[in-house]
Amino acid sequence: MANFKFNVDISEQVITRGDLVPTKIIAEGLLSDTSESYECFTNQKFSANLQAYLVNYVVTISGYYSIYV
Amino acid sequence: MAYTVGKTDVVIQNVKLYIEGVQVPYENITINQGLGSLPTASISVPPQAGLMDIARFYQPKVHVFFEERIDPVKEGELSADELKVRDKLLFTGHIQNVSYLKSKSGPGQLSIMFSCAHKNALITECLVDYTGWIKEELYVDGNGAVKDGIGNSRAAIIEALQGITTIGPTDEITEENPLGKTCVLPERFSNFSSRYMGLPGVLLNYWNQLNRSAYNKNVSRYHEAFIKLYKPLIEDGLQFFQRIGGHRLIEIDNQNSKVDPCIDKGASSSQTIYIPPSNRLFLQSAIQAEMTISSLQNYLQASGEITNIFAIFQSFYDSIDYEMITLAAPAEVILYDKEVTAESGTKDTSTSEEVPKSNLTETAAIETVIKPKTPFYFSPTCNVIFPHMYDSISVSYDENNIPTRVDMVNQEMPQSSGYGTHFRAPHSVRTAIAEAAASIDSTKTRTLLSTLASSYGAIGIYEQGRGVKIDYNAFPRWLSYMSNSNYSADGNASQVYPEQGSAAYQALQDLQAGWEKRYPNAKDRAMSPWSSDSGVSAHHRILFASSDYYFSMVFARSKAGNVSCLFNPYIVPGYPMDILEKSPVLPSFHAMCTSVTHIIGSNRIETNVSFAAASTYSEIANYYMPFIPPALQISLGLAKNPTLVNSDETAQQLADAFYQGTLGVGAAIPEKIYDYATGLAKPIMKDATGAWTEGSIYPQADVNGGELNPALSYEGNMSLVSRPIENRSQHEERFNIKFIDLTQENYSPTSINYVPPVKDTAQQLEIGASQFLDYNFKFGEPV
Repeated sequence: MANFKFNVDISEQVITRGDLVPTKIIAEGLLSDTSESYECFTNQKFSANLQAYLVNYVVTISGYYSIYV
Repeated sequence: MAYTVGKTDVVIQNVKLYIEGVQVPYENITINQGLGSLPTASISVPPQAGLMDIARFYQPKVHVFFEERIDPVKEGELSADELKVRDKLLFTGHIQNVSYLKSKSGPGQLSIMFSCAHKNALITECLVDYTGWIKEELYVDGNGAVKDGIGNSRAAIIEALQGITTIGPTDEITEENPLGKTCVLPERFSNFSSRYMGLPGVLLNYWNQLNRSAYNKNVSRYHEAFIKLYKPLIEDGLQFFQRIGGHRLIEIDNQNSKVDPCIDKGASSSQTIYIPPSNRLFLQSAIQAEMTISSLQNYLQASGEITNIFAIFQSFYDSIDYEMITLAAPAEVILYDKEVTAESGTKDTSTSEEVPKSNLTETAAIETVIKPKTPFYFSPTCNVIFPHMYDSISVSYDENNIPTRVDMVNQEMPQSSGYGTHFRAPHSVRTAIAEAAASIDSTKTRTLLSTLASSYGAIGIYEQGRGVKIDYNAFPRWLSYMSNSNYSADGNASQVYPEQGSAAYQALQDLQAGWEKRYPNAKDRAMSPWSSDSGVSAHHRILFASSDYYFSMVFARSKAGNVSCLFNPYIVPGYPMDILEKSPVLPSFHAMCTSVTHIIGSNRIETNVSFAAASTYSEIANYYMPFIPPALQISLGLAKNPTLVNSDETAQQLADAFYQGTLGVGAAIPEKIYDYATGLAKPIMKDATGAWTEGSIYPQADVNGGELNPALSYEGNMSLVSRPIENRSQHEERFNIKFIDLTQENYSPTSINYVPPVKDTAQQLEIGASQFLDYNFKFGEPV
């Protein structure tokens, strides 16, 4: 995850729309370690950039499909 | 096998969707898989504006897993890692199309839907270019295709038919050693070497040829797209070659049937080549080798100037009556890592010590099955639909469309003197024609040979009860080619009956024994393609057998249907299937599974199965149907007694072996799962080894109110037909990826702001760039 940037100043308790990734996912090393085009197409790795967006998508869904009760 | 928890059939089936490894909620998932095409899926998810952008200039990966419920462990008792083992792969692919729908009319609609292709669809982007060899200006440039060195030439086909003979690194084709041998398996695939035995190895050989072409420095183009993009994508990213497999039983026979294509022509080549079962005629090797090569070349030359590598593979296998089937849910089966020497075991090639089968425990996934077409064979047990597994079925028999005879005419080369030779079926019609020929034409006798020309207006005995309904057809090109008179001219001297004691002689004896069992009248010997009394040339045998096989197909093709099942992830299209009925007055069917569709939503989950060639269990017992090519009848022990009902013990054991190595299950034997005396499906259970055995018809209630007899519940039935499927843990390890589960544990309330580099630049993207990829490197070098 050498190339990743994290802005620790805006870590929040309340989830808002944006590019927020739960700290547990980072801590457990679940996020992919690359978003390089070659790695993601030719080697079929997951794109961390897209994963971050999708994780954020998941937390912003409300109602029936929400992760948070 | 005892079931420790009673099955209540109150089922909450967990199905998980991951996009780019992140589990996301969904509204609906539909997964389709059928014959002749790669699986597809469509998924709809709760909409959000950003989702419209995720598939632009990128193909986000999609994985669907289902939680297997057949083992009795209760929910909540498993750790996260153990749960991964229960999650079985149902589909893997990538998003190709994004659509958004919002409607205020009626109840209203709001969704974003992704259309997904199977991951191997990316292989179709790898192109091969046959243009420009005669005139360089005819290059179709700029497509990134491999400029193939020898194309679909005769030399390329002979080379490919050598398959894989040794394992690298010695003589392996690499960029540094482009003149290596195409029959050498790259060392990196050595762990899977047993899976390339036989005709699946032909695919590897052809791939090696493409590598050689790409590394050819004499071609005035550099194959960057192939060498740096598609080769690593197909070999490493998709792991295509690590996930293919054939049917070992057949491929062992293929391996043992390799011939020297030149030996009978007074010459000798350094390599032997495979003769596919469909082309094996039980005659001298050079002729069938010549037929195989010529028919393949003829077939593949229709491939066009630029074609994709996957289409080449498919055409190649189609031309030898094989097919490539892509399993949406890959089979997880034993990996034989040593050379096979006997049915009972394997041999370590380095020590020559026999290794018992029971010592083999390592498994690997088979995603692409390379197999002979066997539409009328026994079903694998995973393709049996027991009474509790479906809720509706419809079958249509278009009896008026079934011909009483077929007349196959070859599409020979114009110069052929054999143009217009007729190969008719069934036997009753051929007999009538031979008798008419003998009585009308003094030069003819009552033999099979007399049926090749005029029909003399003769009527078969069974046609007097139905009238004459004829199906004229032309043989497929590869079969027609065999009828080319070049072979009969060339082979006259060679086409003597095989030498006594040879394998070909024994094969013909077995097929003749099967014929005489069917037609015991001595005068019918002259009507048997397998008898030397018939007067026909050796190459005619396969054509008569093919016309009989074709008659079976037209008999069966008018009988199609579909069955709507409770969720069934185990059934596999491309193989025969059985649908059993619990009422004695209603029909059970044996059919050919043509497509499987899973529909998964928030309030329903089901599997719809389409099938063709449906025959009732009465029909498969009452009618004789020539169901597979003769060489396969020999390999599968069906030559002497060619029947699916009341078959020999040997044929049943071979059927088990046929499926075990590829799908990890045995074969369903009709009389063992269906009681012909009562018309009832037999109660089945698994014994201690997991094999099917007859169970009880009586309910066994558990204390929880559930049913312990697997024959009497949906969940019990599913446990009987289950097959091993690659699980999430195995998939993660093999592809070196991690999935992010949608759990409260992962989604902790504290979060951190992740800044994607692309957004950080505050620059507008160029068309062609994805918002979600970084482009800091080109093939490993900083840009």
